[in-house]
Amino acid sequence: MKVRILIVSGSIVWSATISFGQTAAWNSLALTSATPTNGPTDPLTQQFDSINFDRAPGAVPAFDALGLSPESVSSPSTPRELASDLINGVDQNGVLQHGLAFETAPFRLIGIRPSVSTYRADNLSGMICRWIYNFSVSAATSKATDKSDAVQLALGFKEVLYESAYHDPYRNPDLDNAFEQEAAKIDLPDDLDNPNKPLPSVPDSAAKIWSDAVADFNKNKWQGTIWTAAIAPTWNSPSGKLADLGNTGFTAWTTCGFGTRNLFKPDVNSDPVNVQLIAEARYREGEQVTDPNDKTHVAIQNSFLTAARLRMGTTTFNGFAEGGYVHVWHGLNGDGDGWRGALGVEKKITTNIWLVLSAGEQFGEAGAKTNNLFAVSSLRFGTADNAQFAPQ
Amino acid sequence: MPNDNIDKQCQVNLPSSDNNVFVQLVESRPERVEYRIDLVDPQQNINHVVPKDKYQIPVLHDLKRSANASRGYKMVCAGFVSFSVSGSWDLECRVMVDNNVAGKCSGTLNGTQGTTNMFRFFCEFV
Repeated sequence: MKVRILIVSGSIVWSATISFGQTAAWNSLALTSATPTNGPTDPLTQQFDSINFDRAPGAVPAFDALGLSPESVSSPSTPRELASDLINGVDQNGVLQHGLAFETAPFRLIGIRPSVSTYRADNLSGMICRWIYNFSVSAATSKATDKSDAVQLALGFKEVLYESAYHDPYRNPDLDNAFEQEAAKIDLPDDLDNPNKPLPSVPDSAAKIWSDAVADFNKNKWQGTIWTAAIAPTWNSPSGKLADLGNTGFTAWTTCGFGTRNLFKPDVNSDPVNVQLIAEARYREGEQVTDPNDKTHVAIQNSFLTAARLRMGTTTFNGFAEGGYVHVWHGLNGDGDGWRGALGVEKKITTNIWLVLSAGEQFGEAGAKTNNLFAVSSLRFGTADNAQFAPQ
Repeated sequence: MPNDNIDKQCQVNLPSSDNNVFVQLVESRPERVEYRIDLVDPQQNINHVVPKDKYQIPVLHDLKRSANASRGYKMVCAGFVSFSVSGSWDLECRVMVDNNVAGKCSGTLNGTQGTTNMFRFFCEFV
């Protein structure tokens, strides 16, 4: 360990750079950006590079499985709208239309309406109510390649297994308080009982209390706890026809996030120490991979990936630690596994200037050639004065 | 069609019963609402039956008058909803007698996160 620390320090001095205006996101720095210099075909490196800690737990499984970020997503809220989306997804010749993207909550679709008191309950029935309410199904199609008729289809199923009240907009206690304050400012006078009297608008002062509280909620959404699980089977149709769909495996994953403000001094608001932990486990079966240097070299691989990231810090000093483990079966290079770890710190020197140090190492097949320790340091200048590793 | 507010009027045929009339709001997703319910008698006198407050829908509110004694009255349920999540939101006002729905009035809002909208149901009991 001592040797490793020395190497880190030396590397930092050696590789120190100054980059001006570097404000791009450095999220998952060591796991995605500062990749060791192994060949691009290394399946483990590719798996590591696919780790995305900033994939929200709310990511839509069908879109995620196909690697899509559709601009237009349909959210059918009635069976009729869902049927319309499905019909529009296939033309009269049975050819799948690419670009289909929808997500819906099936239990809401069939008219199951939650009781607020049950939904908010801190007991098993409340949890079951929220499971039912938050279960979602998604579907997406996309062209497999630009120059063929092949179409890919994914169906996604997602459940929020656990969500703390603080993370849930329907149960957030700060929003409850804001609603109370807002409600106190809204009158419901007797003249509302006259049907000829138009409904008044909500006073601006009251509406602002609520809108500000919701803005704060969105800003602090990294706080609280959420645990989700999803599975997305995928199909491919070489002709684009529905009848020719063949299964191409599935992706299943679970993600949990925990964030808290002022962990060590919960009663003190000044200079809080924020902590955020994100962990993910993902299994992909039946993924077709092609060697970019040899198009004839293909494999149908299975892979398992698990990774976690811890971020902790204050407004002037932050640190992160990330680690990931990958196992690949039947990949381009056969079976293999490996892990990657990284650490980083940043210190605010003065307004808009941060000193950033980070280092990491990859072991296993992916790092077999070098087992390089990779280190990056920089001075970060920019217009944003926020920490890049900080939870918020 | 979604509007900025829900403002609906309806007529409810009350069954012949000496049991009380109840009113219940049902929403499609658990947003925060506050409302009150008044009964207006044929002489236009207002009775505040259910005070303005936050209620965890669906609460069954007793109007404390029998169905037979409520004919000719008007029930007004007015309130507001503050959206914490965007999306379509349905609200239904059910008038119940003897555990059966005697009539209902409903509306839909296309809610925007962070906004507050008013609603009002005006039901004439016949």
